[in-house]
Amino acid sequence: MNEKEALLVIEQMINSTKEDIKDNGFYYYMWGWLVFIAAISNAIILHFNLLEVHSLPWIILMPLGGIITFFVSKREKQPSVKTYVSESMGIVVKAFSISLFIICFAMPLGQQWKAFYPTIMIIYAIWLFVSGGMLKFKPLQYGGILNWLLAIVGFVWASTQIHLLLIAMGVIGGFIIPGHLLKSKTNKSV
Amino acid sequence: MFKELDPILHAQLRLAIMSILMNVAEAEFTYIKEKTGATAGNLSVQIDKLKQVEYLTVTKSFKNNYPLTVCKITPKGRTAFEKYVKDLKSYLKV
Repeated sequence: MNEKEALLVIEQMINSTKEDIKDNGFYYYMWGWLVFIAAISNAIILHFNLLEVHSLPWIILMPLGGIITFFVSKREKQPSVKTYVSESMGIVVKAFSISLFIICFAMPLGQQWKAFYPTIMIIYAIWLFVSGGMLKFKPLQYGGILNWLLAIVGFVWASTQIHLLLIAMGVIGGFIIPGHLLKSKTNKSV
Repeated sequence: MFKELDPILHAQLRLAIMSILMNVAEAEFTYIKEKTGATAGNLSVQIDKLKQVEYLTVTKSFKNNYPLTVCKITPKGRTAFEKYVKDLKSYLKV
């Protein structure tokens, strides 16, 4: 192998490992729909005073989302390479999940309901903005911006029913629409 | 005067392996095999040589009851690769 051939080998290998991170959007729209249904049904239950445990939709649908995520991720083919972007994405997923877990369990324990949903929207916004940047997919980042704006409205307008409607709007713009767009993008490229 | 190119890296398959590992956090044996087009036997020998000089680490485990070999570049390997590219550039005057 001469020096020119060596340079060619390096160039070929670098080109063949160029990152092409893909996401079929499943987790975005699956969680989006579950949160949307939970938020709307919770708002209806509250408005018409249908149940004493008005958060029942969350109690049913969030563990259901966890179970679906667990089984779908088990069935997915694991990639044979870990890129720097996929590694960073994994770290962000962990940070997002831990933050969400703390908010969902610690805030209700301290009866901190006033800012509960807007705080969740802030966490959603960070996740959407970062993952959109990593996937180079603008609709997710726009979804992040939407959730930040809705969170501001929520912090100013402290009403649980309004917060539930805001979070439903937030997941439509941040998770459901971008998730389905990612899905159609993946279907087109196959 | 030209600097001598690192003989460990100045071999087609070993250079290809190191170029891949410079670009990713870690890669499975099957991934490197697919990208380089090398035979499993030859690839194992070259990975072993790179491991001996501590240019990469090899972790062996199991995935779905199949053996899994994962390679990762070491800081020493990264430095050696960067020096190799620098020396190569001075040879080619680029």
